[in-house]
Amino acid sequence: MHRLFPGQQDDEEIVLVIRQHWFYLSAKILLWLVFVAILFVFDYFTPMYIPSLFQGGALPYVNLMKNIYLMFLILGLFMIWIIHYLNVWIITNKRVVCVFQKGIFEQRISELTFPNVEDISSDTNGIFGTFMSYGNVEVETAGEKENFVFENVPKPKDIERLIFNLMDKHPTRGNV
Amino acid sequence: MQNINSFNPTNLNQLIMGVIFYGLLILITFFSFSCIYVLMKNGRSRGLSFFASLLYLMFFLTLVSQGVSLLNQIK
Repeated sequence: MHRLFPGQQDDEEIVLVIRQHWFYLSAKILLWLVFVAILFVFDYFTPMYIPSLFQGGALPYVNLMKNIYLMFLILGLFMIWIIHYLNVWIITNKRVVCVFQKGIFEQRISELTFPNVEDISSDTNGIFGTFMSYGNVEVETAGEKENFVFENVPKPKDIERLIFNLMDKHPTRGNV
Repeated sequence: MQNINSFNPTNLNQLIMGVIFYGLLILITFFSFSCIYVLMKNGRSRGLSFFASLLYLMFFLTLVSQGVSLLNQIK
Protein backbone atom coordinates (compact mmCIF):
# COMPACT_ATOMS: atom_id res chain seq x y z
CA MET A 1 0.00 0.00 0.00
CA HIS A 2 1.35 3.42 -0.94
CA ARG A 3 1.37 5.57 2.17
CA LEU A 4 0.66 9.24 1.66
CA PHE A 5 2.47 10.33 4.81
CA PRO A 6 4.91 8.64 7.21
CA GLY A 7 3.16 6.49 9.79
CA GLN A 8 -0.14 6.22 7.94
CA GLN A 9 -2.20 3.26 9.18
CA ASP A 10 -3.86 0.76 6.85
CA ASP A 11 -7.43 1.76 7.70
CA GLU A 12 -6.72 5.47 7.95
CA GLU A 13 -8.47 7.73 5.49
CA ILE A 14 -7.08 11.14 4.61
CA VAL A 15 -9.79 13.78 4.81
CA LEU A 16 -7.82 16.95 4.11
CA VAL A 17 -4.26 18.01 3.36
CA ILE A 18 -3.51 21.62 4.17
CA ARG A 19 -0.56 23.81 3.33
CA GLN A 20 0.10 27.43 4.18
CA HIS A 21 -1.91 29.94 2.18
CA TRP A 22 -0.44 30.75 -1.24
CA PHE A 23 -0.06 34.36 -0.10
CA TYR A 24 2.80 33.26 2.17
CA LEU A 25 4.55 31.48 -0.66
CA SER A 26 4.09 34.62 -2.80
CA ALA A 27 5.69 36.76 -0.09
CA LYS A 28 8.75 34.51 -0.09
CA ILE A 29 8.89 34.56 -3.88
CA LEU A 30 8.62 38.34 -3.79
CA LEU A 31 11.65 38.46 -1.52
CA TRP A 32 13.43 36.13 -3.95
CA LEU A 33 12.53 38.51 -6.79
CA VAL A 34 14.33 41.31 -4.92
CA PHE A 35 17.52 39.27 -5.28
CA VAL A 36 16.74 38.76 -8.98
CA ALA A 37 16.25 42.52 -9.33
CA ILE A 38 19.78 43.06 -7.97
CA LEU A 39 21.06 41.40 -11.13
CA PHE A 40 19.08 43.79 -13.35
CA VAL A 41 20.12 46.81 -11.28
CA PHE A 42 23.74 45.69 -11.58
CA ASP A 43 23.41 45.33 -15.37
CA TYR A 44 21.74 48.72 -15.68
CA PHE A 45 23.93 50.88 -13.43
CA THR A 46 27.37 49.27 -13.50
CA PRO A 47 28.13 50.14 -17.18
CA MET A 48 27.38 53.78 -16.31
CA TYR A 49 29.53 54.01 -13.17
CA ILE A 50 32.16 51.31 -13.67
CA PRO A 51 32.39 50.93 -17.49
CA SER A 52 35.73 49.13 -17.28
CA LEU A 53 33.94 46.07 -15.88
CA PHE A 54 32.13 45.58 -19.18
CA GLN A 55 35.10 46.09 -21.46
CA GLY A 56 37.78 43.73 -22.68
CA GLY A 57 39.13 41.00 -20.42
CA ALA A 58 36.99 41.80 -17.37
CA LEU A 59 33.70 40.86 -19.04
CA PRO A 60 34.04 37.02 -18.76
CA TYR A 61 34.82 37.39 -15.04
CA VAL A 62 31.70 39.52 -14.50
CA ASN A 63 29.56 37.11 -16.50
CA LEU A 64 30.94 34.15 -14.58
CA MET A 65 30.10 35.81 -11.26
CA LYS A 66 26.58 36.52 -12.53
CA ASN A 67 26.30 32.90 -13.63
CA ILE A 68 27.27 31.62 -10.17
CA TYR A 69 24.87 34.10 -8.54
CA LEU A 70 22.09 32.82 -10.80
CA MET A 71 22.81 29.22 -9.78
CA PHE A 72 22.35 30.17 -6.11
CA LEU A 73 19.14 32.03 -7.02
CA ILE A 74 17.65 29.04 -8.83
CA LEU A 75 18.62 26.77 -5.93
CA GLY A 76 17.02 29.27 -3.51
CA LEU A 77 13.75 29.23 -5.43
CA PHE A 78 13.78 25.44 -5.53
CA MET A 79 14.33 25.29 -1.76
CA ILE A 80 11.54 27.81 -1.08
CA TRP A 81 9.11 25.68 -3.06
CA ILE A 82 10.26 22.39 -1.48
CA ILE A 83 9.85 23.74 2.05
CA HIS A 84 6.38 25.08 1.17
CA TYR A 85 5.40 21.81 -0.47
CA LEU A 86 6.65 19.55 2.32
CA ASN A 87 5.13 21.55 5.17
CA VAL A 88 1.69 20.03 5.56
CA TRP A 89 -1.04 19.42 8.05
CA ILE A 90 -2.99 16.26 7.38
CA ILE A 91 -6.41 15.61 8.82
CA THR A 92 -7.47 11.98 8.76
CA ASN A 93 -10.53 10.22 10.14
CA LYS A 94 -8.47 9.31 13.24
CA ARG A 95 -6.09 12.13 13.99
CA VAL A 96 -4.33 15.30 12.95
CA VAL A 97 -0.75 15.03 11.69
CA CYS A 98 1.66 17.92 11.35
CA VAL A 99 4.66 17.46 9.04
CA PHE A 100 6.96 20.36 9.76
CA GLN A 101 9.87 20.79 7.35
CA LYS A 102 12.08 23.45 8.90
CA GLY A 103 14.89 23.21 6.41
CA ILE A 104 16.07 20.66 3.91
CA PHE A 105 17.67 18.49 6.56
CA GLU A 106 15.19 18.96 9.39
CA GLN A 107 11.74 17.41 9.52
CA ARG A 108 9.46 16.99 12.52
CA ILE A 109 6.27 14.95 12.49
CA SER A 110 3.81 15.28 15.33
CA GLU A 111 0.33 13.86 15.65
CA LEU A 112 -2.71 14.26 17.78
CA THR A 113 -5.47 11.68 18.04
CA PHE A 114 -9.04 12.94 18.40
CA PRO A 115 -9.57 11.64 21.96
CA ASN A 116 -6.77 13.97 23.06
CA VAL A 117 -8.34 17.08 21.55
CA GLU A 118 -9.79 19.39 24.18
CA ASP A 119 -10.93 22.38 22.14
CA ILE A 120 -10.44 24.04 18.76
CA SER A 121 -10.34 27.72 17.93
CA SER A 122 -9.61 29.69 14.80
CA ASP A 123 -8.66 33.29 14.17
CA THR A 124 -8.17 35.59 11.23
CA ASN A 125 -5.96 38.63 11.63
CA GLY A 126 -5.12 41.71 9.58
CA ILE A 127 -6.24 43.14 6.26
CA PHE A 128 -4.72 40.40 4.12
CA GLY A 129 -6.03 37.66 6.39
CA THR A 130 -9.55 39.07 6.25
CA PHE A 131 -9.70 39.64 2.49
CA MET A 132 -7.87 36.49 1.49
CA SER A 133 -9.48 34.41 4.23
CA TYR A 134 -6.52 32.81 5.89
CA GLY A 135 -5.63 32.51 9.54
CA ASN A 136 -4.66 30.18 12.34
CA VAL A 137 -6.41 27.18 13.77
CA GLU A 138 -5.41 26.14 17.26
CA VAL A 139 -6.16 22.65 18.49
CA GLU A 140 -5.90 22.51 22.26
CA THR A 141 -4.76 19.25 23.72
CA ALA A 142 -5.64 17.49 26.91
CA GLY A 143 -2.88 17.36 29.49
CA GLU A 144 0.51 18.96 29.13
CA LYS A 145 0.95 18.21 25.46
CA GLU A 146 1.86 21.09 23.21
CA ASN A 147 -1.08 22.69 21.37
CA PHE A 148 -1.37 22.12 17.63
CA VAL A 149 -1.37 25.30 15.59
CA PHE A 150 -2.13 25.38 11.88
CA GLU A 151 -0.46 28.65 10.93
CA ASN A 152 -1.71 30.85 8.08
CA VAL A 153 -3.92 28.22 6.52
CA PRO A 154 -6.71 29.02 4.06
CA LYS A 155 -10.29 29.04 5.36
CA PRO A 156 -9.56 28.45 9.07
CA LYS A 157 -13.28 28.40 10.01
CA ASP A 158 -13.94 25.49 7.61
CA ILE A 159 -11.00 23.55 9.04
CA GLU A 160 -12.24 24.15 12.57
CA ARG A 161 -15.70 22.89 11.62
CA LEU A 162 -14.25 19.86 9.83
CA ILE A 163 -12.23 18.80 12.87
CA PHE A 164 -15.28 19.23 15.10
CA ASN A 165 -17.32 17.03 12.77
CA LEU A 166 -14.64 14.37 12.63
CA MET A 167 -14.34 14.41 16.41
CA ASP A 168 -18.09 13.84 16.73
CA LYS A 169 -17.89 10.88 14.36
CA HIS A 170 -14.94 9.35 16.20
CA PRO A 171 -16.04 6.29 18.25
CA THR A 172 -14.38 7.44 21.49
CA ARG A 173 -15.70 11.02 21.22
CA GLY A 174 -19.05 10.80 19.50
CA ASN A 175 -22.38 10.57 21.33
CA VAL A 176 -20.90 11.88 24.57
CA MET B 1 29.46 15.12 -33.98
CA GLN B 2 29.30 18.03 -31.56
CA ASN B 3 32.07 18.32 -28.99
CA ILE B 4 31.25 18.42 -25.28
CA ASN B 5 31.95 21.81 -23.78
CA SER B 6 34.90 21.03 -21.49
CA PHE B 7 37.18 23.20 -19.39
CA ASN B 8 40.90 23.08 -20.23
CA PRO B 9 42.77 25.89 -18.45
CA THR B 10 45.51 27.50 -20.53
CA ASN B 11 46.62 30.20 -18.09
CA LEU B 12 46.84 30.86 -14.34
CA ASN B 13 43.78 33.19 -14.24
CA GLN B 14 41.64 30.53 -15.85
CA LEU B 15 42.95 27.93 -13.42
CA ILE B 16 42.17 30.08 -10.34
CA MET B 17 38.68 30.90 -11.61
CA GLY B 18 38.16 27.25 -12.51
CA VAL B 19 39.03 26.13 -8.97
CA ILE B 20 36.60 28.72 -7.51
CA PHE B 21 33.87 27.80 -10.00
CA TYR B 22 34.14 24.04 -9.50
CA GLY B 23 34.45 24.48 -5.72
CA LEU B 24 31.17 26.37 -5.62
CA LEU B 25 29.67 23.89 -8.07
CA ILE B 26 30.39 21.02 -5.66
CA LEU B 27 28.59 22.93 -2.89
CA ILE B 28 25.57 23.77 -5.05
CA THR B 29 25.40 20.24 -6.48
CA PHE B 30 25.44 18.77 -2.96
CA PHE B 31 22.51 20.97 -1.90
CA SER B 32 20.66 20.40 -5.17
CA PHE B 33 20.80 16.63 -4.91
CA SER B 34 19.95 16.79 -1.21
CA CYS B 35 16.85 18.80 -2.13
CA ILE B 36 15.88 16.32 -4.84
CA TYR B 37 16.43 13.38 -2.47
CA VAL B 38 14.30 14.96 0.27
CA LEU B 39 11.60 15.88 -2.24
CA MET B 40 11.43 12.41 -3.75
CA LYS B 41 11.49 10.78 -0.30
CA ASN B 42 8.95 12.98 1.50
CA GLY B 43 6.87 14.47 -1.33
CA ARG B 44 3.29 13.22 -1.44
CA SER B 45 3.12 13.21 -5.25
CA ARG B 46 5.94 11.33 -6.96
CA GLY B 47 4.97 12.78 -10.35
CA LEU B 48 5.06 16.38 -9.19
CA SER B 49 8.33 15.83 -7.30
CA PHE B 50 9.89 14.25 -10.37
CA PHE B 51 8.66 17.03 -12.68
CA ALA B 52 9.91 19.80 -10.35
CA SER B 53 13.29 18.10 -9.96
CA LEU B 54 13.59 17.67 -13.71
CA LEU B 55 12.74 21.32 -14.33
CA TYR B 56 15.28 22.43 -11.73
CA LEU B 57 17.99 20.17 -13.18
CA MET B 58 17.34 21.58 -16.66
CA PHE B 59 17.96 25.15 -15.46
CA PHE B 60 20.89 24.08 -13.30
CA LEU B 61 22.67 22.13 -16.04
CA THR B 62 22.11 24.96 -18.53
CA LEU B 63 23.80 27.35 -16.11
CA VAL B 64 26.68 24.91 -15.51
CA SER B 65 27.21 24.58 -19.24
CA GLN B 66 27.14 28.36 -19.66
CA GLY B 67 29.58 28.71 -16.75
CA VAL B 68 32.06 26.35 -18.38
CA SER B 69 31.92 28.25 -21.66
CA LEU B 70 32.46 31.53 -19.74
CA LEU B 71 35.46 29.98 -18.00
CA ASN B 72 36.97 29.19 -21.41
CA GLN B 73 36.55 32.84 -22.46
CA ILE B 74 38.83 34.06 -19.64
CA LYS B 75 42.21 35.16 -20.95
